Amino acid sequence: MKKMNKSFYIIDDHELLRLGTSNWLTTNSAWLCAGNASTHEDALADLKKLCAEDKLPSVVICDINFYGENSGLDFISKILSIYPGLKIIVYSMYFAAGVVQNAIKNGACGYVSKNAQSQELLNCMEKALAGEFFIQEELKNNLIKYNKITDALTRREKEVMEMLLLRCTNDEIANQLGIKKRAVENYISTIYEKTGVNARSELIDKYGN
Amino acid sequence: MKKKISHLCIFLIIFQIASALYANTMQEKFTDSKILYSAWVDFHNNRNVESCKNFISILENYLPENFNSYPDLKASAVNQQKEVLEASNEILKILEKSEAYEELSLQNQEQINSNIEKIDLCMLAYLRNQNYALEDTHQKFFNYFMWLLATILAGGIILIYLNVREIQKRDQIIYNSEQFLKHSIEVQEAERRRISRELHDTVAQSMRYVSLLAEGLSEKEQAEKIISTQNKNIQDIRKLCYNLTPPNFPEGELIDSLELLGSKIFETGESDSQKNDKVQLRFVLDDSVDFSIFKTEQLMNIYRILQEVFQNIKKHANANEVTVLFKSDFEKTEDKEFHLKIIITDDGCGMDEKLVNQINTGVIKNTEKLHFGLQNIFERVQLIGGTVIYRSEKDCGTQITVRV
Repeated sequence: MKKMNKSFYIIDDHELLRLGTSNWLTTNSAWLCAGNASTHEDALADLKKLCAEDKLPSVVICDINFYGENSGLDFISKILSIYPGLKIIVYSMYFAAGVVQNAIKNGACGYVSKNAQSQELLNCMEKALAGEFFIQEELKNNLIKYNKITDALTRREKEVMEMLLLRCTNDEIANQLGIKKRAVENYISTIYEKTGVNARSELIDKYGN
Repeated sequence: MKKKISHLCIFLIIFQIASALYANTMQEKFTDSKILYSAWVDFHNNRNVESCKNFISILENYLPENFNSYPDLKASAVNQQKEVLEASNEILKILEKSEAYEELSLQNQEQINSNIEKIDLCMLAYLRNQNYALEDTHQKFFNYFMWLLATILAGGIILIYLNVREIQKRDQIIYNSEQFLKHSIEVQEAERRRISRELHDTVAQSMRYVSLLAEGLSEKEQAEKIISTQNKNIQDIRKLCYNLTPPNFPEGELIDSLELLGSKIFETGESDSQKNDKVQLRFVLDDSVDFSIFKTEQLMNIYRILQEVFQNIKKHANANEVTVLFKSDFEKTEDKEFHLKIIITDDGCGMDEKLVNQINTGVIKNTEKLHFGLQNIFERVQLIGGTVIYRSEKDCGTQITVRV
């Protein structure tokens, strides 16, 4: 019965924001606050107490940065090693792709930035409760990673490279694209430098079909 | 100018004429003692009037060596000439009495022989003086030469010593200024980090709390205004932070911080229509790149270099697309070792060819004070022992290659 209670526990070193968020959530939704803490030690002690009373919260909302250090990431794995089933949502001012990725790698099931509307956090909590994975929409864009060398070419460079692969001469490329021959030569040396080849034939071998 | 040349011409012509005239008057006089000796040998062999007359005329026209620096030699040369002239005139007188030397009386022959002996002695003495003077002059020249050599050597050594000291002093100054630059950058960075962290972790979160409070207000319209203003403030603070120092550097990855910084620098405006023509910024990381070999301050310098580059692109390039490629680089030159190559390309309006040349040849470092951003890039690149090369073509973008 008690498991059906929507309860959350919040850990954040910024006191006003921690209390404010908890207050907003309890007044604007059916969620109940199981407790809050500003340090990892307090949080672990609290959770231990709650666990003994079988009142473990459904989700834990956790910040990444504590007192100037990114200790939150390690803390996530630590909680999960003690309470494996716990759902952890990261709510942080930091939301660079690497941080988001690391948080998820460490076991977080949701990530919401403190830039987002509070409703977003609520959505995430609902999703977590339902066992779903949630990352704030705006942050997903950050996760797109480019790792092909050809992604490092600008549109123009790609055009030149395609023509190179079609074995066009510099003059033909210059005419086709309506640019100076010197510019074409510049583009070609950039392409060589980026792809790490030294000659046209090498480029065709490496990227031609 | 023309007047001067014509003056010069006239002067030259006058000089030519004068020297020709002088040569004319001097034609009969000579100083070469060989001619005198050959005439004397000629008389010796023939012992007739003709050869004697010839010898006398040559002797009269002969100018003994000047011996300018030996006054006594000069005087004796004049005396010797006089003596020889007297003796030869005497011989001539005796010779004129008869047709041939053999027909002369024994007494006359003896007279001639004694005069010949006298002349021989005089000539020998003269020759000895000449040789002595020549040798002495050689010795003097040699001495002068040695002194000159010694002076040049001493001067050279002093110059080299001064030069070395100058270089050492300059190196010391450069070293000191580099140390100072390094130190001041460290201090600056530490302070920036502190401010950035404070702003990001405390002020921005407090602002978030205010908007949280606003979300609970009953007056929705007012609340909306407060929230949007606060969000704008938070955005601004974050932008400021990433320009100061990424708040969680270096724990947060370099690329992440750069991506955030880039998106902050290149974002154009708030409205959706403006967002469409936002600059597209792509980071590509080659798998082999390993940032762990760099120290924190080196990473910070790389961050600053790119920050400056982005700002330059934003300010001047009018680009739609910016790509940043990180590649590993393995090259060892005499004094540098490269590990990383960063190639930043934009498709903007390109740079002035002259400026690009100035940058690549390093001229700009000393001359232009206006290019503050470029100076900054140079300083940072220098600080991490790297190189930077620009390549650009009008309307065809710019490529910047940084090697570290």
